[in-house]
Order: sequence, then structure tokens, then C-alpha cells
Amino acid sequence: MHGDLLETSPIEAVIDAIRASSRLSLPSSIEAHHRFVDDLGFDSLGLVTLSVALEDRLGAPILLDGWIGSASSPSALTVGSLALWIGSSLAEDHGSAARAL
Amino acid sequence: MEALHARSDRGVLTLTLDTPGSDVNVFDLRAANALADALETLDPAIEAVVLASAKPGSFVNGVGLMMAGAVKAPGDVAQLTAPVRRAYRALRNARVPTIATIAGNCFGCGVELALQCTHRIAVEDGPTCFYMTEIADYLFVPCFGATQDLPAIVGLDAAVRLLVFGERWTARDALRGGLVDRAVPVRGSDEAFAAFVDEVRGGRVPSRRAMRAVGQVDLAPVRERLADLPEAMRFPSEAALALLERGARGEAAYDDEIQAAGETVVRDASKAAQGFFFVRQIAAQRERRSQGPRTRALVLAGLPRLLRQLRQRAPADLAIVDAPAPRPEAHRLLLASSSGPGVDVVVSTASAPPVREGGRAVAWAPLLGLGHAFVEIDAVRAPAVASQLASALHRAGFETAQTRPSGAFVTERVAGALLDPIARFVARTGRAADAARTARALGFARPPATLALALGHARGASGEADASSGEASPALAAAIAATLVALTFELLRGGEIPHPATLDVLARHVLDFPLAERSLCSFASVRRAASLLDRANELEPFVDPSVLARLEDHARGRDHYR
Repeated sequence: MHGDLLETSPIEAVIDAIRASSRLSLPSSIEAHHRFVDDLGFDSLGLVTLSVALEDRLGAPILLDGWIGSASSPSALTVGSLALWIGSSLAEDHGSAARAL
Repeated sequence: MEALHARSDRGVLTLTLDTPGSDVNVFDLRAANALADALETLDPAIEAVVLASAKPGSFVNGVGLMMAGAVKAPGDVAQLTAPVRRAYRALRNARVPTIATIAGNCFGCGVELALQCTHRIAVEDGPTCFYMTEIADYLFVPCFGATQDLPAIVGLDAAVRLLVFGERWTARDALRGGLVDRAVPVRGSDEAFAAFVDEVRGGRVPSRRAMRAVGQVDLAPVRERLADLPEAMRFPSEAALALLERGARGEAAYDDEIQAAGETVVRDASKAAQGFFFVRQIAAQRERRSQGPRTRALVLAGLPRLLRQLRQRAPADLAIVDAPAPRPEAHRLLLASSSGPGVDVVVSTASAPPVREGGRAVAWAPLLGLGHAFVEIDAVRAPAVASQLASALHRAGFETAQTRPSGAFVTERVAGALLDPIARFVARTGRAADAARTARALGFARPPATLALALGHARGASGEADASSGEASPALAAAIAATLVALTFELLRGGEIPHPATLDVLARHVLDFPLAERSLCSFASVRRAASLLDRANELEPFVDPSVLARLEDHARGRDHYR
């Protein structure tokens, strides 16, 4: 089901998508500081599954290379940094749609 | 869960790669640290080390692009890859023979990992495939020794084909080329592996590294071919070629390889190409989601080229049967499923699309001859059968796009979006060389004339000319961009392609769409639509009149990806 962006915060969508896409045992509470590689066991293919799960929640296809490229090392990719990145890409998207109107 | 399992038996230590939570092996930091630790503390009683995989269909698929994505400056590569290089060094410097047993995909750094071993043996049927992804897919020079080790083991000529031109090798190709010492059938492969390990321990199999491949190679044709490439591809290719030549001379220029990796991986073109990894994988996941019942056999008639490709690639549990053709043009294919009777679909590998008839699924793979194991499946009439066909073809290593075209096959229309503006331009100006040069300047490596020929597109073939003698036309470039942007908008809005990633994979195969643009749907942005509209007068002579209206619609819409 496609969630509405206004009803689901980016951090909620990210945490929900992590639970839906990972086959590993995850911490009982996923926090913004958790690192995808070191703490949650994600690799690049795992992030693809995550992006598909995010798409289901955000209602639009999302590529994560921009977020990965924004980090100084794989260990700097955190739950919080992804939520921030998604929030800002969605804001940009709304901005450009508004400008077009 | 561990990334590497160790088992010791009668003097042989078997290290089995098993990336947790993944269908394939990714040689990430966990695997690297585990491998280095195991090899650096080798028990004195161990006489041989075997490297194996617990994943069916995957030896090592890659090292994880997150590492490449994190490189901000060329100098970052050495530090970011240090743990992986430590593991590779430990393997190479092991005091005992090391044997890679390869079944399934062996990509990029997986090939480099296998090259650190003293010996390699591969399963010859099933999906075993050797492929250097770094330049072909990501436009950067590899950094785990390929430029130095490949020429030493397979010779300079084969090393160039593998690394610079991205040839995909089966296990038999690898045996012929000297990349592996043995290729064995999947049936009885465990016994064959064990027997090979005994032979190696007995000193009866010389190490190819010690033999060192020799031979003179004329690189002039290679340089000419590289000179013809768009700049984004030429830069890493020429850097790799220079290093391969030094590797062939035995210079061991490993540090310079790391430097070149850094210089290429930070370029915008490479960063964009790395983004296509996500596109391709998302498309594959979307295609797999809609799998039908598991297919046991593909019965093919009148499709020698498809049959040959499938035979080379199909896994052992998928029977490929060559039935007598009812009539040569029938292109009939039967999917025998384990849960019901066989269903029959119509497939064509010819340049003309197959005729749609009755309630059958229809599929088209016109680019097999150009080396693209890609099939468009028209799912309008029989979606369930289309899914089943896609699933069987995926297992045989093909890529598929299930489409719902309202008219012509999407393959044909996407090709037309490149070829039609070129045909209009040549018809008006007569400057075919300029058209070819324009396509190259846009980043298209494959000449449009080659595509036109493969699809029997008579008008587009007029673009056949020597690109190097022409001059790029900004108006034609804008016209091609406009047609592609408009078609992308139309196909996605109309639901003819269910997902942008599916269209991107199709465009990559059909158009050889430039990796330096990341993908067609990224290229077809709202911003680009708006800027092309500003140039409407300039491009208008070379496009269909409907293109501008669709650009206007898209300029008011949203990008296809966030």
C-alpha cells in the first residue's frame, strides 16, 4: 500500500522498511544512531531491498546512491542520516512541484 | 551469523563464504576480516586452503558499492579498502596452496579474490559467470589487483577483453582462457573438487601465477576502439589499459592501480554509473516479485540462438529441450511447470517483433546477437504466463522486462526515440557523420546504425557513418533528448511499463543508454523537460510534433525517482 507522505514521517518509514526488508536479527528498538552496516548488518544489496520497501511506504521509487554518496564512509550511514536525506529529497520534490504550479 | 564458516578436515581448511541475510555473497568488511584472521592464524597442520561459497549461484557478487560510494577524494581508496586488501594479501601470501572452488557468479572483486589463490576450479554448467564489473558497469578502475594479476594469469589480450571490454566468461571460456585450471560438471562437482585438491596437494598442478602468461599483443586496434568511445568510458578504459600493459611487463604496479581507482571512482560519470546498480537491482526485485509457478523445462523450437544462450546459462534443474520446429518461423516455446500442464508462448529473436496471436504471452529478444541476454515480455494478454516465462529466464541468467504495451513493443519505441530524430536530421541535412558524432557526444557508445540494423530499422541506418569525421549538432542532441524524455513520460504515465527501473534496464539494453547519465528515467527529469522546451524552436525540425506537448505535460509533473 502506498502510504501518504504527510501521514508517515521519514524516520517511521525508514524503521518500518528496515523491519520489512531485513532477514537478520535486529535490535528490539531501532534508533536514529544505528549504523546500517555495522549495527544492522546491511550490505549494498540489502539496501536495494530497503529501497523497494521504502517505495511501498512513500509511494514513489527512491534510489539511495545520493544518500550513500553523502557519507564519508559506509559506517557513517545511519538510520537518522537516511531519514534526513529522505526528508530533504521529498521537500525538494514538493518545492519543484509547487514551482511548476 | 558469520560471514565465513571454517571447517578443517584431514589437513584441508575449507573457508566458506556465506554473507548473512543475503542470497548472494558480498565480500564486505565482515568477510574480509574473518578471512584475514583465519589465514593469518593458520594451524601448522593445515596443508591446503579451499575457498568456497554457501550461496547457490554466487561465488562472490561484489564487494559492496557502499565502499566506492564513500570515496570523496582519490586518496580515500587506500584507507577504505585496507581491510579487504589485508584479506587478499593474506590469501596470496598463505604458506600452503589455496584453491578457489567457483560455482555461480564471480564478479569484479570476486575474480580478483580468486586470482589471489594458487589454483581455481569452476563448475561448468549452471550460472557460473566471470565478469569484471568495475569498468563495464561502474566506470572505475578496479583496486584489488586485477590490472596486474589478470595479464600475468590470462595474458594481456584476454585481460583487455575481460576488464576493458567487460566480456562475460563461462567456466569453459575461463578454462580456455587460463583463468581457471579445471572446469567440471555440476553433477559430481564436490567429488571433482576434492580430487583436484588432492592433486594440488600432491604438487601435480602447476600454479598459473608461477607460469606467467606471455605473448605479443598488438594493442593498436584496442586503442582505436577506445578512441571511439564517449569520454566518460574512454577515461577509465585507457587508465586500465595502461596499467594492464605494466602488469604484462611484470611491474607489479599495485599502488598505481589504487591511485587510478581513486581518480576514476570520484568522477561524476562513475558516481552516476554506481547509481545504476540500484536501478538494475530494483528492477530485478520487481520482476522476481511477480514470479509464477516454478518452471521445470523450457522446450524451444526454431530458436537456435536463444537455445544456445540458454544451454550455456541454465541451472541444472531447468531442462532445456530442443523440439523439432513445427515451422521455422513459429518461434514457439513451451514452459513445463511443476504445478500444471505446459503453457506455450511465442518468442522471437529476429529483428522483426513476433506477431501477437490468441491468448499467448509474446516475447522478443532482438539484441541477443549484440550480446544482450534481455527479453521484453508483452504481459497484456497472459500476465501469469509472462511471469512464469520471466522467472524461468531469470534463472537462466537473462534479464527481462514485463511490459504492457498499448501498441508496438516498448523495445521498438525506445529504439525509435533515438533513431527517429537521427533519421529526420539526416533526411534534412544529409550529414550522417554529424548524426553519428552527436550520438557519441551524448554518451552512446554503440553506434546508432548498429541498433538500426539489429532492429531492421531502415531509416535509422542512414546514420551509418564515421563519427570521427563529423561534428556534433546541438540541435540534434536536443531533439534526441526531447524524444527520449517525452517517451519516458508517456510510457510511465500510461502504465505501459510498470516501474521506472524496468524501463531503465530496457533502455540500457536497447540503447546502451549511457551509464554516465545514471539512467534514462534520471535523465528524463522535470528540469530537463523544462530546459528542452526553452529550445523548442531549435529541436522542432527533428522531432515528431507530439513530442513538445508531452514535454510540457512532464515539465508540470514530478521526477520519476526521488
